[in-house]
Amino acid sequence: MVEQLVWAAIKFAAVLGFMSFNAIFLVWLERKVAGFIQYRYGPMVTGKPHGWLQTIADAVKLLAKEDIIPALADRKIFILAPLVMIVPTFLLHIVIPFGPNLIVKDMEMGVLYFFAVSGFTTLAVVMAGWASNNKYSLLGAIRAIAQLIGYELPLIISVAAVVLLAGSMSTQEIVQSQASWPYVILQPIGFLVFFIAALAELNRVPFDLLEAESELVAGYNTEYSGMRWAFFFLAEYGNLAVMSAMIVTLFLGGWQGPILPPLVWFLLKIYLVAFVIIWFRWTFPRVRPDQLSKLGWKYLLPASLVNLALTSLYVVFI
Amino acid sequence: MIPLSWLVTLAGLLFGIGLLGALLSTNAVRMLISIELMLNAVNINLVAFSRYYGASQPHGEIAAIFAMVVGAAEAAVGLAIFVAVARNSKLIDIDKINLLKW
Amino acid sequence: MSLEQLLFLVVAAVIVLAALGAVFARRIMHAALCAVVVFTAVGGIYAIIGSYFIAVAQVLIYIGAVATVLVFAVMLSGQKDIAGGSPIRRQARWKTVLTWAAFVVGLVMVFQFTLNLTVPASGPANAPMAAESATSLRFLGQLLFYDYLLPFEVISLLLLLVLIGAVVIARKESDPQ
Repeated sequence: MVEQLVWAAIKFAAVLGFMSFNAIFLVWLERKVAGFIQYRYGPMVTGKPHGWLQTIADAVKLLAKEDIIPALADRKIFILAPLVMIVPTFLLHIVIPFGPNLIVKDMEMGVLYFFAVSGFTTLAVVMAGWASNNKYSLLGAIRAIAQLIGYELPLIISVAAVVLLAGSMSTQEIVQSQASWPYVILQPIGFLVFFIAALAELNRVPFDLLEAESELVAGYNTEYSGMRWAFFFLAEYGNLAVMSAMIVTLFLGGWQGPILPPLVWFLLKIYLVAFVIIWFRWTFPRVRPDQLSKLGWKYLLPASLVNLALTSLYVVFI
Repeated sequence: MIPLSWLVTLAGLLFGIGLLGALLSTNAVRMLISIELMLNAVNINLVAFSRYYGASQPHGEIAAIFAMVVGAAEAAVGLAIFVAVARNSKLIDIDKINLLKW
Repeated sequence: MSLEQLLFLVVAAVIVLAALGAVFARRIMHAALCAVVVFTAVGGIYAIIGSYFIAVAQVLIYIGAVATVLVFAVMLSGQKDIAGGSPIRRQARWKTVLTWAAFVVGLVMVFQFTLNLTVPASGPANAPMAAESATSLRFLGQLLFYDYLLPFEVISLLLLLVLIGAVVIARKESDPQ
């Protein structure tokens, strides 16, 4: 009993540490990558080489800020929304396999669990957008749902093809079944569809419609500041890391790789995928809501269905 | 071990509350929410009996899955109707919706 | 009382309170969010009694789909909440509530009574843990795709019809398409 509790505490602390590290590291990476893409340096002053202390300083500043709740906001929902955002992000880390034995809990239906829990994110965005009592926030919230309807189907159907090939929904078994070939080679269409849909799920450019600065100020988190905004930010970058980890687990062979230890391989792959996603942000323009729906329903969904059908034929006949 | 009677009592209470909401509310969206609560109560019973009386043959769990899917389908169509109605009359009051076509 | 039972009681209390909130909350958005709490907590109940697949399916379907659609409809219909007053009908409130309370008590009693009538072969105490969860998921899949294949296909047809129906109903009539 005591041993179990100690283990639970260790795992809790590890996931929390990983999440906080990601928020700090990925924000720094984002600013640096943005800087280099735009022929400048990004943060340089705080922390010596290359301003590595900048995001920590920003985090301290955010925590010390005054807590503001708009007068006409729906207080209860306004306060609850950041928590609904961050708790699922934390829970998502449970099924990520960092190494052969390095996983919080290897669930039998790990992949299904992952996508079930990530459904809360949209709900949190809607709660935040509605409770703020601000038209830009509300528009962001409505867009979040319109976006969800567009990408959720292709996302899950492309995962179904991988599950078919692996014959299991456990993340650990999916990684093990990729010992010879990662699924990115066997499932190129599935990977492409999943990657695009994952960008939409993460609300990253080119699909960051719900916080489009040029139209909606900051979308659902317009009215948020200080600590609560920091929660949203932490969840956003936590989601970026955990979704990259899922892409690595499902398509890029997880922790498998020669010479280096599994954990190192896994982290390398995660940050490579995160880097590509960040790279996209500074390269692509934002799409319109109707373009996103069109992309989801007319191209991604048929592509993922064809992919699923072909995979089923392959599994049955070969 | 949770006694089966607790689960059944919970399901009964939830069903009753859902029924109260479905019968008494005038707002169509709230009515739909109440019906979803009732569906959930039924599912609790299905799953509970399946677990306690036939764990080797989980037919009850299959029934619960079907009930969930039908519940989701019902919510989608119902809410589409409400959106269409709300576009024409500003309030979704089921006592006021007595025309078949606008 | 074991830890499991304590957990069950807490989750059950959350369900009942949130369900009451869904029925009586003044603002329709609060009612929808209370319903979301109920859906999540019911998923918790499934997990407590060991039906993990149903628990995950509950969260996937009810949070990912039903709750989102509910909240979307509340925002899209853009209606003003009924200002002040109780959301329930005014006429004959006491009589209704009394009848309702009698109904609930009767319902629970009938449930308990049938519980005593049906005597399980193995007894409820050891049955749930008998099925290993690993075999359970595989078994559930086989049951779904062998014994229940026809209902499964009919359900998929239903979903397609609902998809088309919802689009047709909610579409603006002035749309050129």
